[in-house]
Amino acid sequence: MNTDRNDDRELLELLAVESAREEGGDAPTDWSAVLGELRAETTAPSAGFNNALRRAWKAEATPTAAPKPRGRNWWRIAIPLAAAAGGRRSCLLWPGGVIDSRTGGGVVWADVVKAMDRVQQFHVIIFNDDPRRSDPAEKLLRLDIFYQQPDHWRAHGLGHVAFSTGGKRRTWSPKQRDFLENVKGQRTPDILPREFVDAHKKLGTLAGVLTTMFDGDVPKGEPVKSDEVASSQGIDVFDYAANASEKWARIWVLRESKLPLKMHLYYPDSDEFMLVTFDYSDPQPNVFFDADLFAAQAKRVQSDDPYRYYSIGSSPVAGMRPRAADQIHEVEGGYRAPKISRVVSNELGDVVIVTDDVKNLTPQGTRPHEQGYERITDTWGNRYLKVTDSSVVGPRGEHRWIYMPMPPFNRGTGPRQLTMSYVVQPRYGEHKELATETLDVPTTGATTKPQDWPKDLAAQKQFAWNQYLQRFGTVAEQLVEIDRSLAADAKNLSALAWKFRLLRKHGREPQAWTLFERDMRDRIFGEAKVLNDYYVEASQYLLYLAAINRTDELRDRSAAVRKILENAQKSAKDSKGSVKLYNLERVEHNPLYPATRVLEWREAYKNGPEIVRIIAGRDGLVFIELAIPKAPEGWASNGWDGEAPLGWFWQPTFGRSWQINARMAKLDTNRLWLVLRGDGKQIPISGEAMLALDNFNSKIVRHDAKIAWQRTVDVPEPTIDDVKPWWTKEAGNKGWWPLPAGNAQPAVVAQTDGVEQWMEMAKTFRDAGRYDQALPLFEKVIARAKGAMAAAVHAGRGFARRHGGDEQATDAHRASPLSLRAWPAR
Amino acid sequence: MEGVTMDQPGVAVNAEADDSPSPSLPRHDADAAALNGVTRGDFAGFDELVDRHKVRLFRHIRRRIADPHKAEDLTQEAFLRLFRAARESGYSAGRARVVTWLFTIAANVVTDHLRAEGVRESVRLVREQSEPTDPHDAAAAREGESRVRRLLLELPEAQRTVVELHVLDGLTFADVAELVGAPVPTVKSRLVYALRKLKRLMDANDGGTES
Repeated sequence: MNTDRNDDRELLELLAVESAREEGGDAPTDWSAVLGELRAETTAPSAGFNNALRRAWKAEATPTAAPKPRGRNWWRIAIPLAAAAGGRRSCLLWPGGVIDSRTGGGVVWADVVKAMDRVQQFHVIIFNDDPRRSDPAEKLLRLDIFYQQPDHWRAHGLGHVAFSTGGKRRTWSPKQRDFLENVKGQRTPDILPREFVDAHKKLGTLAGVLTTMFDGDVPKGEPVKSDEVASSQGIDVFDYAANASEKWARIWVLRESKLPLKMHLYYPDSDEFMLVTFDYSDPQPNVFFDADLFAAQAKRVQSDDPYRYYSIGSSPVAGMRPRAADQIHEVEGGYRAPKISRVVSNELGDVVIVTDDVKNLTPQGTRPHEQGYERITDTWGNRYLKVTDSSVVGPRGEHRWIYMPMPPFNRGTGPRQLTMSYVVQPRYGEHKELATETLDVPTTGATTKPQDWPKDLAAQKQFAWNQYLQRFGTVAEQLVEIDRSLAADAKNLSALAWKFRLLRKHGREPQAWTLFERDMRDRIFGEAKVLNDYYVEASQYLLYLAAINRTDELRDRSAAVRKILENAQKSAKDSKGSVKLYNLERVEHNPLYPATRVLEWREAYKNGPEIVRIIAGRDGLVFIELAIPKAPEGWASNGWDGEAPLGWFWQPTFGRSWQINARMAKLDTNRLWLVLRGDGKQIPISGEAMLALDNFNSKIVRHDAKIAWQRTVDVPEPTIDDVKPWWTKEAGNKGWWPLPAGNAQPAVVAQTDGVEQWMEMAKTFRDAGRYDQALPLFEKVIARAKGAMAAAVHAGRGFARRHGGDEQATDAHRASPLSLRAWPAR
Repeated sequence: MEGVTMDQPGVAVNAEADDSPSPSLPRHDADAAALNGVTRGDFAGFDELVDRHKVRLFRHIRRRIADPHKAEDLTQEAFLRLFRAARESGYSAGRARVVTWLFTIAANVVTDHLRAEGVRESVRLVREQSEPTDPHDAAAAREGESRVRRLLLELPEAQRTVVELHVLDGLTFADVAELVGAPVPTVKSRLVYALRKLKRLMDANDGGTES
């Protein structure tokens, strides 16, 4: 077999080096034999392969043998635009106009041309179904073209926005965040081709479009009217084709206004099909066609969603059509509370509320963070807890909400009336109360229908109650519930795990690990399904072993768990698993994955990042380039910059006398570029490589597996006059440069009174055991306005999660990686 | 498999490879010249181009498609798509090499076929089904191949892909990196991991114990 490798020398050398490292004094592996066995394949295509291929290609390549393949010229679709311009040469193409075969007031094609010529603007929407495309995303495409006299064009399609005015064409790419004409080496999708615009200007649209559509050979034939049914509805239909077996067009025209309504293009040879609809009721303001104004606004959009860009310049408030999710949201009136259709109750006081199924979406087009009924109380003095809710599939689109009274259930006298509020949280922490309802609860059994109550209601209620206690219950309440469960079943693993978590949360580490090793460990590590259920506790145990240096045990347990993980992931891939191990099948956000690799990662990343170069400017700024260590092998992440998975990120800090002035992560080359401003001849650099986080629920004693590194570098002699223009050029006008250049040196590290700083200081004090200083800071954080908290969380500095206002817990899962990112200078 | 990065410059290969078509042309230049010729209707380099890639491409597809006749059809389809694409947009030396382009197309061809067949998995390794002429050789070959197939299945997909492309299909590290969308060092490390694991599995399979 042919091969592009010269031989296996490079591979064998690579393997030899690795083997020597691995095997130590063992006999070297015979890799040639391994490679030889792998290459045991003997199959080959049949002897007639070349001839068959040659014949197939000749048949396809010879013009007479098959129709000439068409490129995807978008403006083949633009025949309807032809009518827009009419044009002085249209008479050459259709010398006789349309023959009106009927008597009476039918439309002739010249009328259409004339009518379109008077139209100040139009919007065409084009759908193209091309079965020849291999990429499903390209099989069915949509393109929007807007025209406004005299010469303003804008097109949306293929994720791009194109403009053409005065012969100047520009195409905006959301990905590049720039016009593609400004980006070297980028191909520009042909959604508003230059040829089309030029032809429109010189010849009139009709001539240009027809010439292109029929490959320069415009047929002599004339369009003919057909479709008697449409005609009776006041619509005239035109067919036009040079060779109907190759392609033909059908156009529907409204007789009264003489304007085309829609058009179909058929390509019988390939089954390709195109639908074009015309809209004259979608006028756009002049700014809609202004590419510069568009660019200024587009640069502020923090999204790759092309529809966010399509909406720029248009506004639905003025009565125009909404395009993006935010505009649609505004026009549709925002969020809606469901309408209650029925209420059902049972002997235990539980309540089912049946409503319609509202499909609220945020302006960004996503589902709200949370939505549902809150603060449910009744006139008998009960507070209610949500057990579950579900949408009911069916034509009525119902939604069922099940609530239980908090035990003990108070049975009052007289009618029971519920009061509750429907609240939407578009994003975390942002509450919008939409409606407050007061409902009469019918007597037990009344209005009940089959399937109103789930069969496992008791189990679901117990689960909901346990969850509630774990979140909001006092320690005493939780212990009572745990003891009750263990009294019923001493081996109840769920109750044991609850107790274990409670012990850790309150700093009873020895008791927690004694309980784990005595009653839980062997059961959790002994069976994949149990490990799947208690994977968080298992990961914490591995980190505990690492923290107390029980290395041999850690190595053995890690190997065993990795085997289980591999099998689970393989079963998931092969769809062979009879038991679904959802938690073990994931790699990202699975704390077991990093926890089983602590030993090898600790060794691999102990030296910290390499400093690639350091350049000083005469303006006092210093540029440093760091090589970002790669994420560990097999980790499905770029391992950097906000997308770091749990257990893997790096972030250097530079002491209090140096501040980060500019920053850019170059993920393609694993580089971090920084510009520092500060004071001194040396820069202290330090950081932590977090290998695995002991997160998931707060706890006093944590066993994070991390490596700290530190070094000091000398500031070199300045070689650049002004760092900012140098950086701008080097970074290609990208990166983050928030502070104005030329600020006096040295900079003082800004210490604002934001919640992030308070929280950080509080944690520092707490970790040092200085609770008297930590507590007031935690109180300040808690007292901070809710809105500011939510904003902080969504700016990537999240650390706090409110649970119905009853408890505030630290969400270390979100806090640690993101908060470091948000505080570049500490 | 990731798509080819079309803007990357072509990767040079050793011009003195044993079966280069011309002593004066590196293989990728020869591929490019032949491809350009074929798209213009000049079939002089056709056999050379097809012979250079057909066996490895067929085996590459064969590892995913059980039916050998269908695999051959798909191999032809991959070549035809390459010719069509080259005719429509031309071959540029500044973009992907012919071989990486061809393997990318082949991946699409296989995916299209599997999708049309309703097969959900993107990668399927299949057992040999055709009957070689010599029963003795056939049995031995089948045993060896099915063992290799089985062992390859034990690898994570990312590792299996680099083993297939480099060891079995003979692509260079640079080509493999371009095809899988990963840096060359990553490809190398995946390969080392994969081969180490395969070795352990082979040893265990031979009666040893997997470490």
